[in-house]
Amino acid sequence: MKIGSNSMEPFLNMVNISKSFLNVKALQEVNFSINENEIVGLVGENGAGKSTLVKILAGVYKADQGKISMNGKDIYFNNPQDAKKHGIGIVFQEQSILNNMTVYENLFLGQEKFFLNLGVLSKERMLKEAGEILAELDIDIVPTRNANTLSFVQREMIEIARNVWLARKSNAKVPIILLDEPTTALEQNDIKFLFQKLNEIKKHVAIIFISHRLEEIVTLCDRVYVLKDGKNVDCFSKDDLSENLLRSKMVGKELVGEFYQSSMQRKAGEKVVLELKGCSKKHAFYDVSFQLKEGEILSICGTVGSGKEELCKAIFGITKFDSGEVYIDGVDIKGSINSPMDAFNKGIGYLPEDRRNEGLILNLPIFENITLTVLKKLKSHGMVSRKRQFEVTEKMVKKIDIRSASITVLCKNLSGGNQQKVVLGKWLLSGNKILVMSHPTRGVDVGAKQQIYTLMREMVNDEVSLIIMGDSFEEDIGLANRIIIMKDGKIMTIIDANESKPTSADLIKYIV
Amino acid sequence: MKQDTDNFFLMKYSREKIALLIAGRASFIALFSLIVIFSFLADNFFSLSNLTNILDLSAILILTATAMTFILMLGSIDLSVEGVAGLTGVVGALMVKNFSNSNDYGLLSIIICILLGAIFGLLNGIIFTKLKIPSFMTTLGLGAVAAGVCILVTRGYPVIITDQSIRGLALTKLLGGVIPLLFVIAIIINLLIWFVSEKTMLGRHVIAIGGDEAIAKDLGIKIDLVKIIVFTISGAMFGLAGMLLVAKLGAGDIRNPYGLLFDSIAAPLIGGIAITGGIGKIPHAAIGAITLTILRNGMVLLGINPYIQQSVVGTIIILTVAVTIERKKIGVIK
Repeated sequence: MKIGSNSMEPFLNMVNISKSFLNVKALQEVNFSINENEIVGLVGENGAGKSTLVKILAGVYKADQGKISMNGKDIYFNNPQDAKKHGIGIVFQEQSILNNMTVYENLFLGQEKFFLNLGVLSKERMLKEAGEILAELDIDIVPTRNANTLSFVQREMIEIARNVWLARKSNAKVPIILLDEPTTALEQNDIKFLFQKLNEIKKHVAIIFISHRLEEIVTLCDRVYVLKDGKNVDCFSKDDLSENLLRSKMVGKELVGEFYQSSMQRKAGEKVVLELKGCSKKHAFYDVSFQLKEGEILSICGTVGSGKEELCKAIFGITKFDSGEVYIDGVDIKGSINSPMDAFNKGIGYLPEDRRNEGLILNLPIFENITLTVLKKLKSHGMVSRKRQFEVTEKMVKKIDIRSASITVLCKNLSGGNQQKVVLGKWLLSGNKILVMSHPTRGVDVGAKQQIYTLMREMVNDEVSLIIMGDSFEEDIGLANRIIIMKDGKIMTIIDANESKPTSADLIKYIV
Repeated sequence: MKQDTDNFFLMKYSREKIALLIAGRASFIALFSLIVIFSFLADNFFSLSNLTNILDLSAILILTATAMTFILMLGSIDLSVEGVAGLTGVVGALMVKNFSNSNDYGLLSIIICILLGAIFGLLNGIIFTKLKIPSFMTTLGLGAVAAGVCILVTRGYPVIITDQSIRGLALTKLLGGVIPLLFVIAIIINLLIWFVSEKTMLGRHVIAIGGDEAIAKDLGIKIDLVKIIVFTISGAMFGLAGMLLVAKLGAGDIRNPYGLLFDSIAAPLIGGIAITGGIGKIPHAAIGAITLTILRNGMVLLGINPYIQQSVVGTIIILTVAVTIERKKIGVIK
């Protein structure tokens, strides 16, 4: 469907929106529209302009050029409060629910003025309205419940309810809810739940949905806009959608080879580098046994509560096994791995899920981060040699294609993909032969994802063995030689993906 | 509510669970066990006159601890209490009948003290929010300024007062000489601040800021304004405390509030208020203040070495913070 080809004016229409920051053109004459009861997807690589567009709509930024009209009338925002008055609200990725308050207090936070009687808050009225809006949206949460007991997806529902309520209060005709990467931290069944809810809520509102996960966009959205380099590339309606189509439009060229580089997959070696026998940890996992072979990519699949995260943490010594035997290179290491330091010395590395806080020291430059694990080897006369740090880093940056003006750039100024490459580079340098990777491509854009996959394949060719927890079943299937499926802390089965790849359905049947 | 309790019991053994327990009940448990222990150990502890004495001793601490709690709930701290209370006390003492000059403004002096305290609170708030200097640094500095001015005015000598109406505030006991008037004043103010924190927009916004400032800001809460108002209210209460100390001790002197800062922070923590903000209820400040007073009083009655007494209180504070602090929220401890 072409934009604006309808004779009827869409409910919300953004026309020729342009925005520059200093000399960077973030958006150039972008068009966007949405109708009531519609879920519209917005996709593009990092830097394509999605968040700029959304922030303009939410009143955070002002467009340099172009106009926004609602219901046929032009509207102007000076700040987010103006946008809220027109019924437009964002649900941010980081979430804005306060743990130290109850659900109903969170719902009306910042809007208490609606509930004042002579300066005193009416709890009764707050509870009543909270009950009403939750019932209307069919959200089954008691308003007096403490927010710290809510799950991630429940918190998202509360935020949606907050925005819908506020839009009603402001007499907006149709609430417009902007969802910025709402599924990043969700597990499969929570995503299913969220989507089911969004499809229900749709009859009251219009939803703009941003996600890196294209399969979600394809299943959920009625229409999808693709942005690239701050420009409209295309807009598809549901019937024309496919993941491959979106992926190629986002990158701007047909992706070379298959996405997960499956053709580069090698056969695992014979040598067993890591073996767990009957390892247990109370409240997390029980009687876990498996072997990791040299040069193998072993994936661990399961939902939250399956114990996979805890298992990976125990392998890197962040927590300890309660019982069981661990062998590294065939040697019994006598019980547990005691600390991350211990694990590191035994040749194990770990890529944490939260790379910004755990994987990198953001305020240090690239070269300091990359050489962190090998500082001992770079010493001369008892001091770390900066010259050698530079040499080693330059080589690594070239090898794994970290894109940055210089190696002295602080890591906090790098994109997600480049940050992850720095973490990978650090472990490559360390020479550790076993790497545990928790969600290695989370929050990384499509182009960089593929580079990371390639990098992983190259590491495996250098006899490094990987244990991964992927961001989606497709990723796990695409990358792994074997897939361990965990449920309720136990290994259900181990699927061999060497010869032929299983499908997502094959995995799900063990998980659910 | 039911779901919360269910969830509480489902929660694994964790620091959060202990924190929740502590915040909910432990302050009462601590208070009553202390009363029981000292009643057995010290003969004259559980006597009417000593209990009255405890209420009397705790009154001004309840006032300053309440003010401090309001600020702690924001996630900030105010270290200017001793300097501000010292200065307002001296200014107040110089306004009523005293040995140093011939003023006689009577109870008006109390209003002046409250205003002067409020001005310091306002300055604290403005410097803290507008110059973006951490509150502990701002208030430490302004507290020193106030203390300096105070010594400058008095040249270090106490200003002895003779005004009986002011002295009466601290010496009056109600209900047949059992309940000190000061204690009643302190409790009323505590309940007033409790009401503000629970039932007004300002109070809810304080809790929100203490919970997560960035989120509060996203939701359109005027962070700076809320902080400035809270610092001003608390400053006013410090000012009042300064004058009440004068009423109690009979002189305005920079040494009056000695030790008050430590106790004003210790009392809320003992009462279960989280030093990281956003958690706790105002009456717990009063509970904490009374507990701390009983602890000190009991140790005196038992004849424990005063230096050991101080160490005991210090240890207790570290222990309370150790179990109640939300380490996840502060990330790296600096």
